[in-house]
Amino acid sequence: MNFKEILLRAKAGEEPAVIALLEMYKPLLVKGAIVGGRFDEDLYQELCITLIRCIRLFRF
Amino acid sequence: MWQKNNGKSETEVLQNLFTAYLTTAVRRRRNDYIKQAVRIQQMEGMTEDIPYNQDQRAEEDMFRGLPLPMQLEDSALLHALKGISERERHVFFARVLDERGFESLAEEMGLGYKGVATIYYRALRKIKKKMKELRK
Repeated sequence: MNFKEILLRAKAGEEPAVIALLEMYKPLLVKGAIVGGRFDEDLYQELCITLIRCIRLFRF
Repeated sequence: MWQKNNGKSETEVLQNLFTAYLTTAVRRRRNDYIKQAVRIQQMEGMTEDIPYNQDQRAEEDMFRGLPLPMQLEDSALLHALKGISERERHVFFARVLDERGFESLAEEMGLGYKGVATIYYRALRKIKKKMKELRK
């Protein structure tokens, strides 16, 4: 399954595809959630929500 | 698990576009979050730095039993409390004296949590400003 397929499935609301994307972008989200050298769990949650919103809003 | 993306095929281009889109969104959310955290910290700090005046301790007993506005031995505070609106006073007293949370106040007044919090911190700011003016 290539990226386009996963993204389309995730857009259609298929949970396994969304989870696959979450896993794929986890390092990016973790990196973004580090504030002042410390991992901020709340911010990580917010960024996970941001990813899910991005899946929905992204147009191509 | 994931192979290196050299941006050649259609799906790889798409993935790069999505990653860029996501990176921007993450950066914005992160900045907002940090800004908010800083603001909350400042507000919390404001509630803690009202100095406690020990010299007025002895007079305190004398004033107990009087109606609340007259219990305020500190005329600067009395002046400040007169200067804020009825609504602000209500929120301020409910929070400080009755130790009620913003949630219950919000429900009572038909406002959001944030609305009540805003009124409270605005009242606090006004009081501090007026007290400072009078002490000069």
